[in-house]
Amino acid sequence: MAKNAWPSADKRSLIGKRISRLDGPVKSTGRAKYAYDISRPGMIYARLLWAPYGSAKVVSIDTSAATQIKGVVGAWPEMKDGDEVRFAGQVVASLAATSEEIAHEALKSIKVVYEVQTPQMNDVLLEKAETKEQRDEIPDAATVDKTFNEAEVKIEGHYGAAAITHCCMEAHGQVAEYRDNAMYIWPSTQNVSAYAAGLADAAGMPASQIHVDCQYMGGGFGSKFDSDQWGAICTRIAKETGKPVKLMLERDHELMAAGARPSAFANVRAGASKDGRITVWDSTAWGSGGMGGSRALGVPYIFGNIPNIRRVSRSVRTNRGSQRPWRAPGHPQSCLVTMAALEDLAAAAGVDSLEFFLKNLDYTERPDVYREELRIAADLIGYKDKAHPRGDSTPGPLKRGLGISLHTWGGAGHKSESTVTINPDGSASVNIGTQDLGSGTRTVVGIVVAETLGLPLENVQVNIGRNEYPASGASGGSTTVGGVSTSTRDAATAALNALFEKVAPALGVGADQLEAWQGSIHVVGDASKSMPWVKACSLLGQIPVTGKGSKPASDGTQLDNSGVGGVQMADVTVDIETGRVTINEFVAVQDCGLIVDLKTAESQVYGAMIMGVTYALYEESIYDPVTGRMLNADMEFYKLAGLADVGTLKVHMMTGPGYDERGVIGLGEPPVISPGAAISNAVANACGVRVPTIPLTPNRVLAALEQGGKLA
Amino acid sequence: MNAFEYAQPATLDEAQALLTSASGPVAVLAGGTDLLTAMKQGIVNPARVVSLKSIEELRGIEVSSDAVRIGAMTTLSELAAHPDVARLYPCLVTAIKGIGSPQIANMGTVGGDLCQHPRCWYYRNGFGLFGMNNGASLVLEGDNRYHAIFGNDGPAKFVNVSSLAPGLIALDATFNVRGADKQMRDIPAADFFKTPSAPEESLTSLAAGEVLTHITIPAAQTRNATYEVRERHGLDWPLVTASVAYTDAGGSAQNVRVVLGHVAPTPWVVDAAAKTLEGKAIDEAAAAACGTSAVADAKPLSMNGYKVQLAKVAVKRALLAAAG
Amino acid sequence: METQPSVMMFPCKHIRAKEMYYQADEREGDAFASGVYWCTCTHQTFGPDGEPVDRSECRPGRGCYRG
Repeated sequence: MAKNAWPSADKRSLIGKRISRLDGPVKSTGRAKYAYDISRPGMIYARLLWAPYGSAKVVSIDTSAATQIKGVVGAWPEMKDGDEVRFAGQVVASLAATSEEIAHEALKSIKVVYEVQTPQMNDVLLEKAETKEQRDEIPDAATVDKTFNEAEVKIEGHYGAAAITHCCMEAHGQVAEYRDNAMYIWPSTQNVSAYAAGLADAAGMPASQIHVDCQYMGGGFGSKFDSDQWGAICTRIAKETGKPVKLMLERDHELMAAGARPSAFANVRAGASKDGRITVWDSTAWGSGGMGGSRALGVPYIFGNIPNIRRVSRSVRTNRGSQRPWRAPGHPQSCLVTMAALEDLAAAAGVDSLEFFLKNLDYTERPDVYREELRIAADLIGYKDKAHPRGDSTPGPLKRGLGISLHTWGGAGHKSESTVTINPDGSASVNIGTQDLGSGTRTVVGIVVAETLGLPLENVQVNIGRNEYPASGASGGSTTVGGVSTSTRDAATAALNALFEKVAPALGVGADQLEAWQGSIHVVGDASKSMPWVKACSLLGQIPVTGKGSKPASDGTQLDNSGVGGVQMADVTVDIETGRVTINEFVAVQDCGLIVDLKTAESQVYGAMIMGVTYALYEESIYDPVTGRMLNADMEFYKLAGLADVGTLKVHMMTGPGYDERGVIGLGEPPVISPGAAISNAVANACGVRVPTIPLTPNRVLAALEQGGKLA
Repeated sequence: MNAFEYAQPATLDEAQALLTSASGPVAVLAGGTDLLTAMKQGIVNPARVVSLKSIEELRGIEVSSDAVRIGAMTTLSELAAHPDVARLYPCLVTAIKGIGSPQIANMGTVGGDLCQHPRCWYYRNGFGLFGMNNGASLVLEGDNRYHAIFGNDGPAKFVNVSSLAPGLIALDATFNVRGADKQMRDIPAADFFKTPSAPEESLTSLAAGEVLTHITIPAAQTRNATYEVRERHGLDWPLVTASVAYTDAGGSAQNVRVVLGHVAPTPWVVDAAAKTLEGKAIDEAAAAACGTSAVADAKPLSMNGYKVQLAKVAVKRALLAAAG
Repeated sequence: METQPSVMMFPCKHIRAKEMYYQADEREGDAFASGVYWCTCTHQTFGPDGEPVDRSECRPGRGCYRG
């Protein structure tokens, strides 16, 4: 009998190796069809008219002129007279036409009268913001004050991160087609299995009659769980007109309305002994994710066992597009605030940063892992040779510095179901209602099947991205890899055991004595008794076998786990005359349990580091305070890092004993948490002053240098 | 974008006839890297677009003993790759490399670079050239981090974003313009750019139907350089640029020109600062003093004071780069 | 962290969080929970009344609440 438990290191043919993604060739040659690429016979194009004001009352919406334009199929108000506009980008009306160009132009003919109001845009100045109290955590205020006042070393600082948006390369949207009393949807979604349920009302039919197909995705990062208002509008128009409809957001609308990571700001007081032992944390934090506010920051991040903690939180409401979960929601901001304040504390104590973090690791949940990761990261970046006290004393305007940050994440597998079928001709396939956001899920599923059946990867047909397949969780919270690898291992093992039942009599042994290995089925411990895979499958006769699997696994075997630690170190140069920051080297050390595909795992970390450099140095949603409009809803002034910006990236994955036997753990979120903090700390170490808020653009760096008396 | 007539004439005569005979607004298409975006954004809505792509006489670079003459339809890549341009005018090559996008440099033309629309985000978001809302300047009340620190007293607070203009002014280039009457006239580079005081006014001194045909740069050997500060290292608009040129007379500088880019509605010539260097050796102290002098009259808005520092440093570094 | 069972027992039918799409048991106080809630009526983090969507807000008594 094949067992569910992951094979030991000497029995892994594929797991843990560097394997190129299965869909690399179709993606790089353009053959992969994304939602935007779907074209259906007779398809029409829908576009959305959005409100250009952060706050307004809709007085009237008149679509009549638009409907008279040649090529326009229909135009519909999506708000009622008297409704409140609560952010610029809110959908006011929709329109469909026979071409994208006509649809785009015809939107201008929809007449909307607004009663414009003054928007609330401020999230920076707490005293002037519209706030909502959150649960304050003040176990013992008197002791916190006393400990701070008596601390041998203390700092008081302001830290923060500007609001950013998800900026998926592929905009949100879908194609919908109504035919034969069923609805066919091609969306860009992180949530294939549950997507249909969100459209049932719009389609006027149960979820069971809505077919969802998402084979490839151009990024989601947490912004594509909902089928969204535009999904409902597209579906409704398809039903109403009887024509296939494509509705993809335009770039400006995508940036305004389809993503947002809340801003976060904090005033922090912290204290330590003069040898660098943290004694107290006291913070007031606030931030805004639009009119829904935002959650409280989880500070002090990682170092949750610091003895005296006071934590006050305020949620700020602003007339901005609603926040959506952004890759490790809340963690990058909490990490920045914490690691920056602690690094300032280390500098105030005159203690080397690495030594400081090591000295306080017992305030974290996984000190041994962090200790090992800090050692490896320090080696990779050359810490010993490069480290210096805060402020590079080298003459000239170019100052170099190092910064450290630590992070954590959960990453347990989500609920998942999967089926694996072995055919009499020896081919194998897997069906699972998951999705590949670009992270390599399709490849990981294939590797698990191939490893389990002892086959080359190319012999396995991987079917994902349709809601007809067994339901699997949405891809969020780094839960996918643990979920799909468990259910697929479970299913493949079940299918293999069904095959073993046929093979065992032919080899004259019990099914429990068989194993599949490198293209054959053989008796454990007796290599002479074996049968090639294809011959073994022919024993199935004319009927394939299908194994069903789930997460949690059917026999209760735990194949996944939760809880990872990561360390990142940045080496930067700051030009103190221009405030410009250059990344020299950037190191990430990360554990994630048993790695299924080392190559796609490393790619996840590289991608996170690039995304991290972006939000650390460039990225910011900029709003006009008067009108509430997002001013840089484009990719010209909403700035993403390019290859010239990221420096030399080094990734080290923690593998082997102590890690592999924990099982599979998700990796999507953790490596994107630390970049802002590590880079901010490196900038402080280089130029000698803390630049309080990210992104670390020249205007912010120069202002901090000027305030700190360090402007060249 | 609106529907429009498209014409691709083969001669300047035809082109200018098409430009002057249109009943509605006309636009000249060169490389299209700016015009097409502006049309898609609905801020330029021509009834007729006249492409200059097929007019051979507008392309190419002619080098003589006393001047280099550059056709307005020469691409930025062609200009940067020309050996004589690279030898004589490193300030132009640096400016083109600074665009950070081979695609834009391959499509963009010399003439198009000089006639670009501003990138002001209020303008690009439909609030007009001056970014007005209910009679008030959104630039003043709102986010002006990328706006002008010089020449911003009037309603225009955007910055000129031409990559080549500061260098061409520093090099004493002349813009050769052909009128609708087929007469040529020469405009000194510095006089080509205008700060509009009303939104319908032109940003250049081109009259209706006039076409910029060539740029002529003296071939005299000068020391010249451009220094620019961007946020990103790759494709990005500069925050500030400085182009400088001078004649090296045995170690002392003569005919010094210092021109800033991205700081004002036009390229910003700082002659007074340049004069402080006349007859001097360009060293760190002299260059830094010139930088300080160059920004003495800056009038930053609420959020762009940092650009004063950047301009100061850019002038210093451009001078030191030119001095080698 | 403490849980709030009284709130969890009567969630508005329109409240969503991403965790609902992948966790069997979406618990308050999970350090890795997004804390981001939206309303299926508005597809925003504010409800039809413009007020924030949250476990503690979307309860019986609010005008737009649907059990």
